[in-house]
Amino acid sequence: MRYVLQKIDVHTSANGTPCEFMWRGHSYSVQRIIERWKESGCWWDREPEREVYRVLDSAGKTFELHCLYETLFTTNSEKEDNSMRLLLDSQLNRTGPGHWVLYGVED
Amino acid sequence: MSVHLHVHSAFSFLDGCSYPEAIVKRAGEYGYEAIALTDHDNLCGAIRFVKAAREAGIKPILGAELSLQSRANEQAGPNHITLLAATSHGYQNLCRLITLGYEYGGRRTPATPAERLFEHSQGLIALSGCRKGEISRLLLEGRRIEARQTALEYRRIFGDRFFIELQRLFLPHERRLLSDLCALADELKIPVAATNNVHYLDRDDLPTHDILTCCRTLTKVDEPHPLRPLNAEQFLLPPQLFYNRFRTRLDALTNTDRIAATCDDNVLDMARPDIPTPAICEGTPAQFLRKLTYQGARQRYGKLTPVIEARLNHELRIIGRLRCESYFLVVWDIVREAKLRGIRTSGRGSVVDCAVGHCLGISDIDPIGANLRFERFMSLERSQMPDIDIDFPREQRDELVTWVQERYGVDHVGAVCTFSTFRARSALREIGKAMELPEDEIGLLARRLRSTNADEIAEQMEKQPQAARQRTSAKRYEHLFAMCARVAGLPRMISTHLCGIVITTHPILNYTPLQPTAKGIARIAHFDKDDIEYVGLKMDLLSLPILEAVDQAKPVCRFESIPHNDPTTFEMIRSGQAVGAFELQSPAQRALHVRVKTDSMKDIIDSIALIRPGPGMGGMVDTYIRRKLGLEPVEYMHPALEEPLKHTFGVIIFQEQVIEVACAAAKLTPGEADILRKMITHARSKKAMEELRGNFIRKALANGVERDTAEKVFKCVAGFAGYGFAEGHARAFGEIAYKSAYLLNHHPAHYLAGLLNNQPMGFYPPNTIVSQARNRGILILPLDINESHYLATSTDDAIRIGFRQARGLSDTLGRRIHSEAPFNDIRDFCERCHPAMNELEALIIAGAFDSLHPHRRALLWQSEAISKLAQRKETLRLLDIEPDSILPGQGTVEAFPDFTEAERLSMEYSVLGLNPNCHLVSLLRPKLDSYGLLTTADLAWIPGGQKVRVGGLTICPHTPPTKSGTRVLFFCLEDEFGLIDVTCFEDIYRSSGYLAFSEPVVIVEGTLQKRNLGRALLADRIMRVPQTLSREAAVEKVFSLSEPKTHSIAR
Repeated sequence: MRYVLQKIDVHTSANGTPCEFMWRGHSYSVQRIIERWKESGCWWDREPEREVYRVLDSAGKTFELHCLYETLFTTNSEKEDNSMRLLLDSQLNRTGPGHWVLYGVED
Repeated sequence: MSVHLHVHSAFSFLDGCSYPEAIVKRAGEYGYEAIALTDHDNLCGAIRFVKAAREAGIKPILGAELSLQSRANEQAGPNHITLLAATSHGYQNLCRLITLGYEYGGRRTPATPAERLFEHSQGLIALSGCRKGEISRLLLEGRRIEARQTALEYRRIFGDRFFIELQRLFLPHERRLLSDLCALADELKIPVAATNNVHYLDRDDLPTHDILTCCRTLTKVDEPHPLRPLNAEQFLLPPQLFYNRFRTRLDALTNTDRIAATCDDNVLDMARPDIPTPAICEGTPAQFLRKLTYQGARQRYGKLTPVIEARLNHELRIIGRLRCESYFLVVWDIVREAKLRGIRTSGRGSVVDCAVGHCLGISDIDPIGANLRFERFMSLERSQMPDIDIDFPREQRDELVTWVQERYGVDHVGAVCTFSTFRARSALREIGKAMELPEDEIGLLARRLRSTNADEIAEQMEKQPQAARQRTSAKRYEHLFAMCARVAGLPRMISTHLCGIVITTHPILNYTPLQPTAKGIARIAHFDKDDIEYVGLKMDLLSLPILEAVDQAKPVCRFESIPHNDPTTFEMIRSGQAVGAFELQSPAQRALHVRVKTDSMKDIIDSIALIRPGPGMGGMVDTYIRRKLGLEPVEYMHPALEEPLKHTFGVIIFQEQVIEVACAAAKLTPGEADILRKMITHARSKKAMEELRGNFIRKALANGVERDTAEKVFKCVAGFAGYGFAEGHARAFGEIAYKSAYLLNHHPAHYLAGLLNNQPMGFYPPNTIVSQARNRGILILPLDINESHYLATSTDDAIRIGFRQARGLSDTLGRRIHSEAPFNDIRDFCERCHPAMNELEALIIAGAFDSLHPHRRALLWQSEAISKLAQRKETLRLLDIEPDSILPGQGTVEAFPDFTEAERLSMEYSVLGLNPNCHLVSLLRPKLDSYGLLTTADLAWIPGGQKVRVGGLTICPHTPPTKSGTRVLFFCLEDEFGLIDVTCFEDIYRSSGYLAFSEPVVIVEGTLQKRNLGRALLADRIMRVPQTLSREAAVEKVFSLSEPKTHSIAR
């Protein structure tokens, strides 16, 4: 797996699974979802929860796409202080919730 | 509709985050009509789960996720299987299977042998389990044929009560697994059942579940572990989400409903259990109890007066109406056996109020003579089984429990369990470790947070200056405290209740599984003190170390024959010198006796009840003292209260008086009054208390009491009820307290040696006990390999320290040494006793070889070689080779200088917890003198009111609750001449008093207070002793050692 870790745009079906995504100006069509699971991420570092999709595109290439959600753990003061989360996100080079990330490509 | 059939509660111990009550409540909110509880290898939450479910109108299904060891594949470890009790028989089988798991797998790693499943399968429904279930595991490994065979085997065992369990948890390889499971189920025509393997209520609880898993698996949050949850999907799904996950396999959902319908409503019989009757019983229990009571009464009272007969008949009638005759007979049976074995017993608590108990020998206090209310013990109105608490010496309690097992049957006796829960200290330590915070920082913080809940740490940090002083500003501490709050109150593990046992009529495994205890006697039932009443007769066999400690003086003084009117003993008590006496030794007690000029047993009994939160918070202590000394007139809130309160100067100090007062003021029956007392004690809200107040006032008004008076009486009763002692209990303890003081006064060497032999007990550490002995002119003889016994021994004027005192020495070795003595030298000792290296080091450091080899450093240097040579010599002897021919000489390490005196004392203290030869403060004396400090002995001749400065060790700092709510710090300052009590009011406590918690040696500047025969210090300032000299630093350092250390550094 070659790690990419880039934010991407994804078109999803009605049930939220990816159908097509854009990367480096190209469009990739999802032929099949090989595997799908969820990960809580490193909640102690405020990493967001994510849904992971291993997909096969029409050219037979395997990609790993992550859909990011909210982090599962915040302290009360962090909840009050929204700027803290933005700061953390920027420090950790994270994408905010509700976004898709291309995690890697199998060569 | 679906039903959750695989649900873990917090009783899965570090693998579940919610109490059963919370699970039931949430299930009710979601509209589920039934729900199961399936904790790992236990039924600890069963009773509270069933109670909560019945209250919520939800059907409870009891089960467990069992660890099942397959003999064919032992290396893979146990597999999981979900078992549900469909019938009572099934529940009993579940108890047996779980018990088997602990028998085969061990106390910590239960593993039920798979081959035993069949014989206990009746009435059980089985689901194939989670990913750790055998079938899923085999399928994930691609071993389909074996998975098929396993499924067939389970079906053979359970028939149509076996289901393939399907879980949709969004884990890797789940699609394939589900597909394989469904294919297998369809092929073999095994029905499927959907579960969500619930471990918490909400997705947000995942961090809690994960951190608990880290604690369980001893991993850090950054470390991977196969048991850690990957995602947050194991929550209690609402019905719609549950449906969505299985809409492609709806039969898996409908089958859950079918399974729930199959399960009986009452698999666990929660009716009041039958009480066993001793085999010795002649006739009916009622007849036998009456016979024994009257036999005992004739022995106790001689002639039976009408008053005595009326009281006994009254009590027997109530005991009979409440069907408690057998209970009394069982207690009588145990006490009788104890006495036959020469084991000292003492009834405590409200049973002392019971004349029948007195006649049966359960308590030695005569409740009729002492005018004690039976209704405090039991009444028809309360209609509950009373608690009969009996004290035994600690060592012999286990002997009696073993006898109870033999008497009533191993299958009918169990130990009550208790659940150790997360409080501030444990949460900080365990979670701090998992979150990778520095252990020493966390340890220090944990030590300073006393009696704090895990969700109040941040708040307490503000309140307790000794904790607030620690640097905890870092963000990560905020995260730590937040995680501690999440786990607050959750159970961490099951352990044995200190004193509770349960005796059942039917086999105990019909009600609860059992698991072995660490000690190996009486297996632990899975129910705690509250739940165990549904199983059988719960009894508290308490251990009271003082009962054993006083036996040390047996050769010189018979405890039972101690006179009750010894003037010198009372003089010792009222001069505040009763350090070491049971119940009379705390600073608060000693100060009280100085103030009230104690001169009778009554003063002692009253004092035991007075130094409690109830009278203390109610401000009754000062009133009592002033009235007792005639400094203020005795007044009663109402004339009717004179009778019940006149013997305590108009002040309520006993629980029985609450009953009497409520009877007199509101015309309640004694039983009703006791219920009121209990309700006040347990009132958890303002509203509940307001209701009680309203009822009381109404009845008092109807009785002709004026409203203002009624209000005052209720306030007084309410302020007291929760925290007072029963008078019977105070009398029972008062008796022991006085006699222990007598022994301390007349036979101090024997008595104090007894205290040393029964540590931990009492208020003061062993070093203080030894200091007290030394100050009483007793010679303290050090640990000696040829002279010491396992326990400390005593003559009239000397105490010899025993091997029990040495930390790190096994009991076996400690007991063996004396039987092998004398020894010629250390090699001789090693050859005959085979100590482990750490044991040998501990003995050297404690000075046990000083009489043979005074050079401790040399001995420590050689210890490893000597120990190895001894082992080798043993081997050579077995091989029939002459060993002495190859042993090397002694070596020449004597050339090294020995440890300094300070080093010797410090190391000695670290092993023994005391210094036999001198007090450590005496080493600091030159320095303390150079600061112009006084000693505690100097304070005897200095007039009260003077400003003084004294240095010494801080002993037992504590901040008890006060009437005003402010925090007042109390501690003792100890030097080589004695100790003095120090009081710091809140401002001083906050500015410098907190040092008493962290500094082993301090200087106290304050005002000397002298009252009657006692003296104390009111602190103005607490200061550190500057550390300039290395030997002093060593002395101070050693007092901060709480754990035994390895001593290799000493070489």
